[in-house]
Amino acid sequence: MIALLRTRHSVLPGFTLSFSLSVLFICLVILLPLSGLAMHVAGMGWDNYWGVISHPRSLASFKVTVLSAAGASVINAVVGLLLAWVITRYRFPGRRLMDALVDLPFALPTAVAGLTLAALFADNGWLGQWFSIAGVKVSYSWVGIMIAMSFTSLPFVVRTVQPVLEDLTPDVEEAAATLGASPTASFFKVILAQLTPALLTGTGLAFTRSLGEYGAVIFIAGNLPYETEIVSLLVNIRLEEYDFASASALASIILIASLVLLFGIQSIQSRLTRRWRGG
Amino acid sequence: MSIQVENIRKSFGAFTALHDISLDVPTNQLVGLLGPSGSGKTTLLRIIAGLERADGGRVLFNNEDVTHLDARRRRVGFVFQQYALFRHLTVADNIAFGLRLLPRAERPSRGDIRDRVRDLLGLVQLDNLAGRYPAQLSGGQKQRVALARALALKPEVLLLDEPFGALDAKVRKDLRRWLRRLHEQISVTSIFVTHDQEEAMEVSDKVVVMSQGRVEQMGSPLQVYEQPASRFVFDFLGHINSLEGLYDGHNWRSGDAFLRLDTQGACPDGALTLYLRPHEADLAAAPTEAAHLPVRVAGRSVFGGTVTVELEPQGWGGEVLEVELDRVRWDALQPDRQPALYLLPRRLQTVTCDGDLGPQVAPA
Repeated sequence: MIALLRTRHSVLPGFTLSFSLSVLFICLVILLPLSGLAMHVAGMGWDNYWGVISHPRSLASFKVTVLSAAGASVINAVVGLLLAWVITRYRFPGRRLMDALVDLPFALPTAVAGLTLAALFADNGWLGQWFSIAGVKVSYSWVGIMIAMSFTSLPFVVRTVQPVLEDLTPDVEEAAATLGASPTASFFKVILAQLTPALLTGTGLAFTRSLGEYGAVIFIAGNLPYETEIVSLLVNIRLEEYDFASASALASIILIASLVLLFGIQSIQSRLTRRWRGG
Repeated sequence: MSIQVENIRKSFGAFTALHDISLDVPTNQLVGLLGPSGSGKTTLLRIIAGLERADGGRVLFNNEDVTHLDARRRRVGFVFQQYALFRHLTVADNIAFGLRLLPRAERPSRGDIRDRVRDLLGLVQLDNLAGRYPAQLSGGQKQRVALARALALKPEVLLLDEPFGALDAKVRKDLRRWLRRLHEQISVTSIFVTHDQEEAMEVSDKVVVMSQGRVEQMGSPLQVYEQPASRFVFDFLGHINSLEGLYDGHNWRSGDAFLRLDTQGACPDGALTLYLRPHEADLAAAPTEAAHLPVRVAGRSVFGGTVTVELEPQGWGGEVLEVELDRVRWDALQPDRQPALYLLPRRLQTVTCDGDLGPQVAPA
C-alpha cells in the first residue's frame, strides 16, 4: 500500500515514518473531535436538529455572524492588499517593523485583542468618543463585531497576497506601459488581474476565520440575544447550560460552512491558476 | 521613422552608465547595439523607449523631440529579454492588449481586433496557439508572442532588449534569421541589444559597439570587423590570439620565434603585441624565411568544415593559441606524422605600446 503511494524515489529516506505520523496526527487532532461532534449531532434526530438551528435566536446569530464576517472580509481585502502593496513595493524606515506587526493578530491572544478593542471603542474610549460624536455606535453593535473580526483575520489577506506580489516582475508593468497602458489601466488589468486568485483565497480564509472568531468579539459585541450575539457565543451559552446537543447542532453549521468555503476557495483558486502555471 | 540620440548622459549614483552618447539611426534600418554586460547598451535602449529618464541629452523620433514623453505615449514596440508576457491572459489576449486599451475613437472594432490578432499570429507562425497561456509555451514561442504583441499597435520603432538571450543556441539561430526576414517584410526602424557578436553581425544593417558607457564604433558589420576603430572593438569581435614580443625595426622576436615584419616605421622599436585572428593563419611542416613560430598541437575540435586547433608555442610565448583551418587543409597536412609544426600568420594587427591599434601587417 505504502509502496504504491511512493511515486518518486527521494534522496531522503523516511517516507513511511513521516507519512504515518502525519496521518496519525491529523486523526487525533482534527478528525477525532470532528467525529465526536458528528456523533452528538447524529444522536439528536432530524426534527430536534432542525428545531435548534431554525430557532429565531439561532437564525439571528447566524445573520449577525455572516454579515459581520462579510463586512470584515471586504475591509480586509482592501486594507490587506494596500498593506501588502506598501510592504513589497516601497522601501521606507520601519518597513520590517510593519511587516512583523502584520502577524501580531496571530500571536496575540484574541481575548487581549478583544479587551483592547472594547476599551478603545467604548463610548468614552479614545476612538469610541469620536465615533459617538459622529453618531456611530461601535461598541455593543455589529460595527464593533466587524472591527474585531477584521483585526484577527487581516494577516490572512496580507500573507497570501504578499508572495504573489513579490513575484510580479516590473518588466510586465513596463510592457503594459509601452503598449499604451495608463498607470490605472496597468494596475487593474495587469497587477490586480494577476493577484485575483491570491486575493480571493486570502479574503476567503479571512471570512472563514471570522465566522468562528470568539475571543476578540465577545468583549466588544455586547452580546445581546437577537442583536449582537454571534454563533460561537451561542454555542458557549448552550454548553454552559449542559445542552450538548444544541451546542453541537449550532457548531455543526459553522463547521459545514467553513469546510464548504475552504474547499470552494481551493477549487476556484486552482482552476484560476492551473492554466497560468502551464497545466 | 528615424531615431536620433543626442548627447545622452545617465548615471546611477556614482556609476556612470552612459557618457555623452550620440547616435543616428536612419528609417527602417535594423541596428544592433553590441557590447559586454555593463557597457550601457540596455540603459540606452530603455532611454530611447522612455522606460528610463536620461540625466541630459535628447531623444528625437523623426526630428521631433520625445525626451519628455512617457513610454506609453512614445508608441514604440518593446520586446523584453524575459518576454514579460501577461501570464493571466491567453496568447491572443496578450497580443490584443494594446489594441483594447486604445481610446474609443481609435480603437478598432471587436472583429477588426480579432482579424489583426490572427494576422499577427500568422506573421509569427503561431496560428494554432491563440488560446494557450504563456506558461504553456516554449521560450522561443513566448518570445514570438512578445514580438507580435509589440507589433500589434503598428509602431514605427521596434526596440528589442537581448531578445534571444534566454534561448538555446539552435532556437536562437532560427529566431534571428526569422527576425531578419520579418524586418524586411514590415517597415519599422529597429534597435536590438545583444552581447553576442555573431548575432549582431548576422542580423544588423549597422552595428554599434559599446564599451563602458561609450560608443566605440558604428558601422556595417563588415566595416567593424575589418577596420576596427579601437583595440576594444578588435578584441571584442571574435576570439583573438595575442602574441607578445620585442620589435627591432625589422624582426619581431619572442624566445625562439621570430617574424619578419615591415611596418614602414609605424611601430617603434621595443615591446610590440600582435593580434592574430584564428582564421588568419595557416600551419605548415616547415618554417619560412619570414615566419618561424614552432608549435605543438594540444587539442582539436572538428565542427562542420572547420577544424579548431589549440596550439602550444614551443620555446616562445605563453598562452595556448587557437587557429581555425579548413578541414581539407588540415587532413592534407597529416599533423600526426609531422615531427614539428609551424604557425604561418597571414595577417596581424599590431598594438603599440600605448595600447592603440597600429597598422595591419603580414610577415614578408
